[in-house]
Amino acid sequence: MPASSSSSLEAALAARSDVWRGANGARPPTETSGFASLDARLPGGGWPLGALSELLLESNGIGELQLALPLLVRLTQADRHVAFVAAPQVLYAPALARAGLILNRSLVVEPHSAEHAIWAAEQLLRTPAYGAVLAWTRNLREADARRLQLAAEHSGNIGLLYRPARVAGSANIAAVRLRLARRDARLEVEVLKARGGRSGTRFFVDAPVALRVIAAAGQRDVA
Amino acid sequence: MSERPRKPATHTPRASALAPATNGSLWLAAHLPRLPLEALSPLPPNAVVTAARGSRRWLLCAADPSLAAGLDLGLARVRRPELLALERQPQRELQALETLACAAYGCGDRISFRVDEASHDYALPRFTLWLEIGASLQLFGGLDALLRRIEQEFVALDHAATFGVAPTLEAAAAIARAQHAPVMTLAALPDALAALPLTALALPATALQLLADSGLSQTRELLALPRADLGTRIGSTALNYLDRLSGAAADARRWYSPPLRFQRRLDFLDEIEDSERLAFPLRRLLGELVRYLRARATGVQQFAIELAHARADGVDHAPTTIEFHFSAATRDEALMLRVVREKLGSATMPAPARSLRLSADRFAVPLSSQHDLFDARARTDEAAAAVIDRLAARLGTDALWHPQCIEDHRPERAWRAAAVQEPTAAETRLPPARPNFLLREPQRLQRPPPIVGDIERIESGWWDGADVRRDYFICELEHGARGWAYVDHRDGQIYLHGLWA
Repeated sequence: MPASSSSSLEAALAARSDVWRGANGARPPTETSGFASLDARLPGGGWPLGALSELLLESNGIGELQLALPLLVRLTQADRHVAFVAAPQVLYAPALARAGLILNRSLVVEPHSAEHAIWAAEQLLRTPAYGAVLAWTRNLREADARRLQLAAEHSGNIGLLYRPARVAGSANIAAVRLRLARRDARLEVEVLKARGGRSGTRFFVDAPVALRVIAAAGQRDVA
Repeated sequence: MSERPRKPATHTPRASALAPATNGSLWLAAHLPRLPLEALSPLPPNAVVTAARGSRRWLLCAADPSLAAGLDLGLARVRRPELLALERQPQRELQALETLACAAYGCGDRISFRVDEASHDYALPRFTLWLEIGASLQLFGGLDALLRRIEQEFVALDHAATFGVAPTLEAAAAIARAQHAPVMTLAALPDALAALPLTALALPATALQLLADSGLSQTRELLALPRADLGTRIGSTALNYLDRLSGAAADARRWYSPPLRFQRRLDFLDEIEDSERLAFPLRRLLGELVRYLRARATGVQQFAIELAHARADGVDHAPTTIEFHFSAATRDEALMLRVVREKLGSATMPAPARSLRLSADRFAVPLSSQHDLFDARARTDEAAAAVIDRLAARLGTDALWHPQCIEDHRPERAWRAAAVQEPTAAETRLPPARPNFLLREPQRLQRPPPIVGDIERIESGWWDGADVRRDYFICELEHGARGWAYVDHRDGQIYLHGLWA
């Protein structure tokens, strides 16, 4: 629908221009995800700052990174750094560059053990220079989750944890827990937990407006 | 006519380094009576540093203040049987002086230091460091403030010193040894010199003996002697010293400047088995490195430590060398120490360590430090670099990288893992649509998956022997995942190469 897509475009551009107003020190409690449909369901209208958000998935390759990319792109373009810890496959530079990520502010960490992964994620989450840290964990102990949570609180950074779908029923300290799935060639998000918000909603997330803008600019370059 | 104050300095006659002291120059001298001991620290409380000549051995300094310098070691052992007598390490003494010179670099214009070796048995060497402070007095807000600042630098490096201020180098040194009041002008110098004990002067022992033999015990009496008479009595070397003391003769020195390479070595008293215990000597050498870097107004991006090992179980072990890389040039001591400890914590030593060497020869001006102005961008990048260094120390540099694009049609060659220390240019081209995850090794699929969308032909690379003929397509996988697969036209098989994460 042209009308709604142009209004969400405006919303995204407005959100983009007022991110990280470092000078006035007033940091919003959330940072927009870049997806209007997701922001609408997240308490505060975006990924919570200084907290962990969990993304549960059945399988890799369903668009799970796509969901985080608008945030990462905006952070790196605002001189912040982002990190990927223990990703299951090689983070492919051409795809990330195409999305607009500043690659030399994007750190890939490939730890040799789960213990090192948690330690590295904690160090990075604790560092204010890193606006967001993405970490893939198979078995996250509660004590480790707590360490990561404290590290995020310390810096105000965004921690995104990718976890297997089987942990859905377990207790957790994350502020947000989403279950991702691919249905009818679209990414479906179910809010399992949203501290201070409503859980249980299920909705589709389509390609973010910001990515479409970049793709359009790219087509102009080619033409 | 006397000089007018507004006259430019370049018109002043004889304003060279060799000119006799003028009202313009003022020297601060530091006398370091405990340097032989301090150079070897940390030491146990029963340690003494000794000098020897023939069969005679005497104390230069002791950690225990009740043991006087110059005391015969045999006598000292009678009083303290448990004494640990150590040889002097002249090399370490010079390194300590260099580090002090570096630390003082920011406080004055010209720096010099000197070790006067003892000329006879039971005498003590003299360690003096000079700093020209005439020009920096105002900058630091007067003599008291400047002295406090320099004292802090010395204390931070664990050195005990007495200070003297005078318009000539030798007068400042003599005043430092006698602990007399600062002398700010040449006019005030003669009276101040006259008040000094003869022992504060750096006269050769033979000259002092001659003076004592002729019944002289006061500097006042010495300076009152007719010059010709004095020359025949104490010799031309001593006479020249007195001329430099009073400012009648120029005092030509080689001024210290930090060398182009930093190298320090520390020999341990005991063998160190546990890498945790290396922290103390390491901290000391890193402190010296940081002073050196500050004096050169630069930073370090890489340095190496080398541990020499003791012979263990009848086997000689090759030294262990560990290199440290920083993603940005730094002179942050705390950061260096963290990185070094992190890496040593995961290293195992083949045998106990006997000595430690730290060397650095690649320097770059750091983006910023607490001594410089910096902007928020540099601060962010530096903080990011600092945590990367810590991660690299524990996980290894191979575990950390930045994704980088390479212009190549073959997907597996269109990227590389750029080392985190390596500066990479920002991406300017817009790559074609690609999946976020690439499989390191393409995975052969047993049966053809459902194809979604168009097919992209990729043919390339025949010229470098890695030719590729593939048809890429997006495909459906289990659990709704989408893959990026291709038909390899060389073997007709289908391979999965990426995931649309």
